[in-house]
Amino acid sequence: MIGDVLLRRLQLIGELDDQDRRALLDIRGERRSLRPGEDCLMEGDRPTESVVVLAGLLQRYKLVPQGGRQVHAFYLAGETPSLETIPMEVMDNNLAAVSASEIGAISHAELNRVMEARPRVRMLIWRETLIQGAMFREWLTRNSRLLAHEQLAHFFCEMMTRARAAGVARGDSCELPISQQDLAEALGLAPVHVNRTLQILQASDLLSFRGGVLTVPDLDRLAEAAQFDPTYLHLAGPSGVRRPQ
Amino acid sequence: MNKKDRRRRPHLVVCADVSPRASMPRYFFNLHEADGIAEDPEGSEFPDILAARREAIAGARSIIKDGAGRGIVDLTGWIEVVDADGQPVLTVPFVEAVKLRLPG
Repeated sequence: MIGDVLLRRLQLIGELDDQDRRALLDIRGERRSLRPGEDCLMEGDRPTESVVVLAGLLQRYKLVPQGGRQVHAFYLAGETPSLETIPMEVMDNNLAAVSASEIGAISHAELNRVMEARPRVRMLIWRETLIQGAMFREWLTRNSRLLAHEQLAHFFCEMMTRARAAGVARGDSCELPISQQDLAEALGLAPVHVNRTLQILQASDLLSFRGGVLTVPDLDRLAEAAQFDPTYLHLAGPSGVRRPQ
Repeated sequence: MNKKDRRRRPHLVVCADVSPRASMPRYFFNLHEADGIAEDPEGSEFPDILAARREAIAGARSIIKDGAGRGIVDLTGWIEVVDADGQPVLTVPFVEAVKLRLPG
């Protein structure tokens, strides 16, 4: 189950052969539950395991000295938030559950064994951590360069695209159990501003976001409003060519 | 939430609820503008009404800044803060959220 989730994520970003797949499926790991808001990794921690999300939603954040937080990323079921802790010694940010979540923890020792035996797996794990970097760059650009309605539209485009890739979207909807406060902390906007902007987007039928469910009837149309280009997600088909949206 | 206390916990261990805002009153921030009202559907928790007022001011400034980015400074709106019982507890007009300096 845990190795299977890692395998599926890596196959979204590149090719693996049968032996690579078997090595990943042999990974056992340990399943754990997280309560809403519970920290999984914290600043200053020295992790000896990496995490895959089995169910729920995780977030990466940093506390701001004046109070409040900056959220840097959300992680859906099927995604792999902390592979960078394999080569990195100390956590410089926090990883926490947004809603009740299930995670799989895989020891670095086990991951290192697989990577030593299977160079292609090593390369894709490296690529995965670099994609996370590409996503942080996109979030920086979005938060500092786009208008509020474009920021929200961009954020929802990304989450819907990732939910589809991870196989957790249902039709044109996906579960996204975040509050407007969480959204505000991700976008660097005040919650009241997020609420107003969300209502404008909903009034124009670009999306609906209610009760923790995101619905995007026309992703292309939302992508246009958001100036969203999914290249930075580096989602590749088996041939390495980007999948059409 | 005390960061030092939290750090004592080993990572990846199930523990008690760590929600920082567990027992604080909830306030709702309804935005009133010329073209309509955006009601706050979920509210946020703050230790006291002063903190809620600071949040309302930050909200007004965030919206004013957004307008300025589009070339419009519109100070006609206001934020009405309502408590969990639906009672209005304070109002922050946009004009009170910023200091205006005009030429002349």
